[in-house]
Amino acid sequence: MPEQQSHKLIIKDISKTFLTKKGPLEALSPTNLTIEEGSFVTILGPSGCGKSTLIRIIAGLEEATAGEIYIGVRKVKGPGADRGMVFQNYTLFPWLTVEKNISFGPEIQGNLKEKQEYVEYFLEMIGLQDFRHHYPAQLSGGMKQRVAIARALVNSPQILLMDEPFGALDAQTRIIMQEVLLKVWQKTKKTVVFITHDVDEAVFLGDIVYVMSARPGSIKAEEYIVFPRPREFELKMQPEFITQSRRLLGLIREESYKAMK
Amino acid sequence: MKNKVIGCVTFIGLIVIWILATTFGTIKPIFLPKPMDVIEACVKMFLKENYIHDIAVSVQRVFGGFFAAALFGIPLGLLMSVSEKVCAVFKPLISFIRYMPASAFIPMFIIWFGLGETEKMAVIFYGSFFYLTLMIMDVAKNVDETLIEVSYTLGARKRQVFLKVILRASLPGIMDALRTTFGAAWTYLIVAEIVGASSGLGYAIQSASRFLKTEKMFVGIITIGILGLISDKLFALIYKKSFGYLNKGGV
Repeated sequence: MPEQQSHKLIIKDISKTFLTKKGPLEALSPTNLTIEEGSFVTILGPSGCGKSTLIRIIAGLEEATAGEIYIGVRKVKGPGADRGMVFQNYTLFPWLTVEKNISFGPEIQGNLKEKQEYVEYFLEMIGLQDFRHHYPAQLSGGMKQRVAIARALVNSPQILLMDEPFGALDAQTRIIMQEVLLKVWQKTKKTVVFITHDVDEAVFLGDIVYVMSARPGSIKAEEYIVFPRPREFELKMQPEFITQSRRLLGLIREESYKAMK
Repeated sequence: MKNKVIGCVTFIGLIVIWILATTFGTIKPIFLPKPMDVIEACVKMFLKENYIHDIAVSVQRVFGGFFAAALFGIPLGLLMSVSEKVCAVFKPLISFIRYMPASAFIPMFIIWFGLGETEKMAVIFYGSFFYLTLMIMDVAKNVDETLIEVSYTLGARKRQVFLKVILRASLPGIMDALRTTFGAAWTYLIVAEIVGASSGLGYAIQSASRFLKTEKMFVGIITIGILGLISDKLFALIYKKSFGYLNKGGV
């Protein structure tokens, strides 16, 4: 029997230096990471540490100065539907309804017929069946991000990249969205790489939290999160959760101070 | 609604001042005619001087010239926004030409195209094309970068991103640009008609001026104002009908 093809995400010696008017700016020093298929990885870092740069390189939206990205044995070149991305700012197409936004990927790839059931499936999963004919301007921030997640997943990507997707939401909506995301992940079992600067969020969502250092960014620490799944909101009140969050907060605080200097 | 009422009151107030000034003031009718005389002149022009023909001719010219400008300006502006090469070829030239006023070119156009319709439309085309092209380019360049990026991550190719995202996202801005430049097109039309024409609104104003018929000049000027207002409202209506998705109310 042939071996099942692995979709492990391999980040190999990725670095990035921006050329600015004031000279070169090293955003990311050589970074290595291997992310197992089906795992939920959160990357935690202070603002300006290059974590967004890293995820944008994985997505293919930014070119690395050096290094390579692999999915399994396949080298990544440029953006593609195999790596869905959810951004911090709202990126729904304002002229398309919720349903049409979700089916954008299949539509342009010409496989909408086969994917129609999938569109329905995700519409239901994010709980927006009744809003299928609404336009983005009529939705709340949380709803918009739910649609964005569904839109990325309907393409059946191997990896879901999330760049502070809940950063613009209010605290309450954010918590609900974290739960929604975990539910969706539990059902789809996609590899998720989730960027955040929120310690609670990183611990609550991830199997592993990688802490990034201040600029130039690199992986400073990794922490395994062993709380059982499915996780619910109450977990955030438990002492073990608080202890682990505190330790990570200490680490990231150091980096934040460095970044301010 | 309330603001609309305020706007109407301003209009009525202006007319009242006009009436008062011409009735009780000492302004000579040659400087400012009485409203009633203007209305009288208007009726006479419609009934006896085939004024509707002048209006029709002008509208035709402005649409012809503007349509040509849009026909070439929109695609060129879009191309300039997505291709640095196309931009490098045309932008310096356009930026230069647009500072050479259309009115300065009228004598030249008369030599090139004669006094007919082609020359009038050429003036309007020249006056609106370059501005429109640059505005369209800006609109398309200002399409939210993340919309473009997200399309790539959803599997779109360059061509699809252009047609399905950049072009589509630009439509409201294109409509706005058309609306603005259409206002300018009216101005160029009148300039062209004042300089050398035998029909049209500009011509009507110009010939009334020769005989010091101030009330007729007023009719011409107000007609242009009303036509401009109607076209502007039409643009606003199309915008509202086409881009309702931008509001909370939806389509």
